[in-house]
Amino acid sequence: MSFFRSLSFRLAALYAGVFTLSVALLLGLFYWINVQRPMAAIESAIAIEAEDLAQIYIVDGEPALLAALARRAGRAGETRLFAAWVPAEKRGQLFNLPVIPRALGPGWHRVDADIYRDGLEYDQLALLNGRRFDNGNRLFVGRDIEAIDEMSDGIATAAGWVIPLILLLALGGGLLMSRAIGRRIERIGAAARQVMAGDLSGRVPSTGGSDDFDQLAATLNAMLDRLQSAFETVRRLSDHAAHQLKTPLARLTAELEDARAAPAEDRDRRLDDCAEEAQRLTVIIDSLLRISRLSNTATPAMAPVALDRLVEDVVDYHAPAAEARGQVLAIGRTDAASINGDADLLAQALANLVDNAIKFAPDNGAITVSSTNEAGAVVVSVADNGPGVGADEAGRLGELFFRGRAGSGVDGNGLGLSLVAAVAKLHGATLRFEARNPGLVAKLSFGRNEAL
Amino acid sequence: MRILVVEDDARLRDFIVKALAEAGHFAVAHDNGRDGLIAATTEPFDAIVLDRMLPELDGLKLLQTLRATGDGTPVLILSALGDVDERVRGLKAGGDDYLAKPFALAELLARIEALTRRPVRAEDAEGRLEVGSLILDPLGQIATRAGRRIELTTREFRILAHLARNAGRVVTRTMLLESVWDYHFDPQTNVVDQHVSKLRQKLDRDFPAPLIHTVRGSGYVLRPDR
Repeated sequence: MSFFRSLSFRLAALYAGVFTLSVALLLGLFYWINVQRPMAAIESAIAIEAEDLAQIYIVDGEPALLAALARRAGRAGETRLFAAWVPAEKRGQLFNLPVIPRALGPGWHRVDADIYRDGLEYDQLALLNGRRFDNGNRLFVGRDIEAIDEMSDGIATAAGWVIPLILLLALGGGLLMSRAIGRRIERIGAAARQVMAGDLSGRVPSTGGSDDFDQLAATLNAMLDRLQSAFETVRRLSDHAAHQLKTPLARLTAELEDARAAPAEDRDRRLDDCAEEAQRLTVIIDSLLRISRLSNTATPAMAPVALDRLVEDVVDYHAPAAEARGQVLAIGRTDAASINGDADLLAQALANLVDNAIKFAPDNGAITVSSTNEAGAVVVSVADNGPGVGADEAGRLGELFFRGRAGSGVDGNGLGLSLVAAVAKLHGATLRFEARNPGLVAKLSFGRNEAL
Repeated sequence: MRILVVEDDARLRDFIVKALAEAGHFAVAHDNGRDGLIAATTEPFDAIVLDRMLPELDGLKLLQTLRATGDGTPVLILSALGDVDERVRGLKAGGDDYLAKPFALAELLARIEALTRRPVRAEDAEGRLEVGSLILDPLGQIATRAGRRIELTTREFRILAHLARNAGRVVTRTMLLESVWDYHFDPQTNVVDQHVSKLRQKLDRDFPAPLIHTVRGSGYVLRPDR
């Protein structure tokens, strides 16, 4: 049965075993301290006394022995002597013993010595050490071990009851514990299975407590949240992308049809147009891929990037485009020295911002690129004096494919700013758009730990 | 030139082979990495066009194995994986150039040609580049045509120098982006056209014959005027 193989059962059984063993050990120790050792002490005391009395008999004869026996038998308490003098030919004499142990030989014996006094029974058990002398006389000497004997019985009885009971209790307790844990684990398993079956809303139910299982549940739920949002992002992206690609594809199809129907001398030109449209599609797909990859990967390798170089290069590259429209593309303040980042991605982001500014600023307008320190953050900004965006559109500027009102008629596919947003997120930076009057300034803000 | 093409997509492979043939090259094609490696190591080629995702043996592994034998044949890697990290991986594995799919055929041809030979023009003993009546001094950033000094910005000089080193061969816009600006993405490439246009104005203003020619659909080429 898999129940018996389960970890919880094995742990419960182990716990029960260890607990019972410790109880047994304790009982054993108790026995040794309260029965074994005292017994050994008494035996040794009896042996010494017996030897002593034997010597008295051998040296001083029977009367001296009997006198000594009488004296010692009168002692009170634990050292009270229990003895029997059993001569071979005559009647014997008893000291504190009820009956003459005729049949007993040399060695250790236990003899019942219960007495009745004033109507009450007193249990006594005598431990006797017997010896036989050469003349056939026997001497039995001993002490009362009733107390120890009772203790010994008591421990044996206790062990007999307690150990099985403890074992049962321990097993029972262990099983209850493991069931409780098993239930918590099962709940986590159920949530995971729910998610795997496709229901991304599955979560581990929380009990409101704060033990380690609850913390585990909370962590798992947070992870499932993140998973769900990532899945939804991907789904949104692919839905949106598929949608957005259909228009250029439709255009391409139409142009191909045109090319097929066109007279021979026009065909080459028409096919060139088709190639251009295909190229436009490629650019869109590339950008989408790049953006989605940026959104889904972990941080790239960061290295120090010199901001003045970055700004110079981008401004230098776009200079002719601005010039063609009579615009002034200039570098503003560059107090910020450098930040940690991916040089290529940052160049791409900044190029997109500058490209945007050039497209939307009017002819003869002005565009300024700067990198400044603002309250501990490094801000790279591109400011233009174009029409800007309305307050309603400002929040949507980073959205995929979003083109504002000012964008109609301007070349582009609405992905440029989404790329900037993705690069910003990857660097832990924020992308903000603020209105200038007139115009717009795009600000990429790198936090303190990104700045060098 | 003899060119080895290792590409598993049949249509693309035929397309490339045909284009190479039309450009006057002799192309050998294979559709998997193992046959490609055998061909590369047993026959001499001037250049190899290598797809990354290949059956039997992965493109980069093929490349590493080839390089390990001491073979230095120029390799152009083709890949649907176009981001910078993958580019770097490909170049680190021993590739000489990296082109992302989809690519324009003209781009592929231009890059293959650029791979196969050392720069057409190298600096002479005095460190100068000479193409026809044009003399460039990269150290001093001085350009003269028929003895007359031409004022160029640093960037314009770099564009001109790159064209000069590849005189007679087509240089695509993407190649200019990569070598002059070190950009491995595509900002608006028509801005490259604007840069070249300004350069041409300065270069050709007082002269009858243009030095820089546009090759439609490909890029630019610098040809000596005498």
